[in-house]
Amino acid sequence: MPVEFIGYVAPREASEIIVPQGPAVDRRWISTVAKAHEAVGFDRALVAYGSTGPDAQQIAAWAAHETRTLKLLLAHRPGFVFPTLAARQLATLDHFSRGRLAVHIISGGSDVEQRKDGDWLDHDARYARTAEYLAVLRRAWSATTPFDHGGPLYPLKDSFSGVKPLQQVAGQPQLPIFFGGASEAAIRVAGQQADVYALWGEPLAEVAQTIAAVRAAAAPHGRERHIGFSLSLRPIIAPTEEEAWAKAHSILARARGVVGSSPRWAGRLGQVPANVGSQRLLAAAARGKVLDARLWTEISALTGAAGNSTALVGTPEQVAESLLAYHDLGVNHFLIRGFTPLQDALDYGRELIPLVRQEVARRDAAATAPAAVAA
Amino acid sequence: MTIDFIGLVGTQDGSEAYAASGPVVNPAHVALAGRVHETGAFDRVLIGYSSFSPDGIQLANYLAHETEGLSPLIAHRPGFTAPTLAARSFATLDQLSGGRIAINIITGGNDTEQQRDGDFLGHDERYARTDEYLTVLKKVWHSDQPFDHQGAHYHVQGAFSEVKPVSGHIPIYFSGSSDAAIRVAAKHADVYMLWGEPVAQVAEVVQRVRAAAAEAGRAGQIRYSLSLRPVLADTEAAAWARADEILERAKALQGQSAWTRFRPPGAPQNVGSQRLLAVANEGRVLDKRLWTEVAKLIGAGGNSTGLVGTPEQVAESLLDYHAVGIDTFLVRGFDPLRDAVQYGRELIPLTRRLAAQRATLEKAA
Repeated sequence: MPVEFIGYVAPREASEIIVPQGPAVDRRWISTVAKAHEAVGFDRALVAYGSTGPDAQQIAAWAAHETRTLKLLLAHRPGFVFPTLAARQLATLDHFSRGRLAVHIISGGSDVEQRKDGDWLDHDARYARTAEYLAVLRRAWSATTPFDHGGPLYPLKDSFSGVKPLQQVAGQPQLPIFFGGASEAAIRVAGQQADVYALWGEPLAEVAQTIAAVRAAAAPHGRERHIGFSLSLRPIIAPTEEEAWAKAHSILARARGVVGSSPRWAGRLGQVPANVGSQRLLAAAARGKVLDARLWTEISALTGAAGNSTALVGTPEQVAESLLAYHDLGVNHFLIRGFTPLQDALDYGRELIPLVRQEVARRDAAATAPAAVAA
Repeated sequence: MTIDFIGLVGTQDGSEAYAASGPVVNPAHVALAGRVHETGAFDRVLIGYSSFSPDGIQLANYLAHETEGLSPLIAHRPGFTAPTLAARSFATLDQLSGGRIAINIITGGNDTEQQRDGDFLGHDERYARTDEYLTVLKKVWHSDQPFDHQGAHYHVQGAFSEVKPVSGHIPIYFSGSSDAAIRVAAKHADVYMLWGEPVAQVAEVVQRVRAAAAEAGRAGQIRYSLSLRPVLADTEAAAWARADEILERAKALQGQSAWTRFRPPGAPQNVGSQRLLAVANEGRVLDKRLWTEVAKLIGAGGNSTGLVGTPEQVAESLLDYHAVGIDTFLVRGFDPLRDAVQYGRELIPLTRRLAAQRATLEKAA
């Protein structure tokens, strides 16, 4: 089972240790980071969504136009664009990117964040909306004749999109749908609709449990073998394990300064996050600074687990070994981004990604070899 | 007062008279059409909107990436995107394009077409929503603090955008000919757009919008754009022969193109099309060279009246409109790409030169 590596393209340079400066949309940064990911062997890059940030769809489009082969993973929150229009937008971008688009459905985990864009539904109602939204989206992509839809949230009459995705999934014009959301309501919808279910970096045992839960939710729809898994982590690599931990501690010291002084983080500190994904990461962080062999949780604890924030710390060989342990559980996509985004993308491309790919290829070959002998 | 020219770019070449072919979204065509308009000294290009068409803001993003100075004018229907998100989308693309975009607010003129995307409001309610939508949109662009808004259609709390338009604002072009439309235009439009009616009627609409703008406290703040389909040739006779050929081609394509297949059934509900059809029923040719036959054939679903003649004659007609207050012309041909080349070579420079000469003469007098 080959692995896909997913990086991250932001509209400007920023992280827990880099206070963003200059314009909110930095064309040169977008272009440079996208090209860097493409050059060093990432398969895809995530473009994130926030209710006060630049529009992800526009950033993803620009990154696509600046590259030739790098695939994009566009974060998209249902509820703010009608699904038939969203279907046309995503299909149109799939054409302009020559079939390189996937969509990452995030239903929103915070009421405060949702209300900035005018959404007042509560958590479970949001996931019910996501389910209807995705059903309409997929229908608009594959329908060959105009269709009606009864609602309840999105009634439609005589709807038809003249533009379909360039890509196909299971013989139909469709885009790959990644899906984020760790609550029970989320997992129910994921089982029905997701092509790839996305998790944040928890310890192996928890990741195994979640994968089992998602597969169980997919089974009634006959999709338990179809669904893939993506794991998000922040690798910190150095030539020796000691140097890697020194790097981690330096990152923590810098992050304390940035997080303590930046308005971007101020609102989260001391608050209990509303989304289950962040709650789970914080629970892991409460159990220890380092879990399994090298899963480092201190940045999650510091930031209130605002997003993908747990790290794997060690030599490239050690981190590759940890990634392979997740791969053994069923993870076939790794979303990795660093605390110094551009430098780390270059390092991952040179030091980490080839190691993982080689070992996965070796194992896959070994797994098929006995069968060949038997035949 | 300088004259602006707007062209039109779609995801493939084609029109009522020339069948589109090839992929529904053809990036090579978009890049070429962008370059053709840029080379021809068009200021902007309109990107259309419908419930079955490829998405305009994505088309605009690609077009901006493939050109240097051309401005995409993005047709946008309020009601299908949260206004805060739409504001961020436009501001983001404005930043990516170096401050080049403008938007054309089209509220939607047909219930069937609206319902295809899930909108079940009636005509006047739609314009009330547009009013509120633009209020929120502009607040997102202009506000340096998070704000709350509670209205009939939108309720936001703590709304804010880190990304703003390059100049702080994105020009709002506004379409809609009904009374309800003109009331909203008076409040929000930077440029009010009309379709190609005879000069006297255009003058009357311009006066009405001016009066409404004055009433809204925005006297003199709106500019006017007129949309037409010039048909040019070296002689007037040759231009009319070309018009006849276009009509024959358009007749042959009825019911075949995506545009005619998805045209809502029945008489047009939008006032703009009703007005244009009334014009078409007055005669095949009005004023000197305003040609209405294609408008009549297709139910005036969009900018569909022509000006037929030599480049000099058509430029003279454009200046007749200029004299009643029009300073922006949206010109697109029935053979779009080739006509854009021709307009850029023969019509746009000539119209600008004649306008400058007239301005000099008026100054001297």
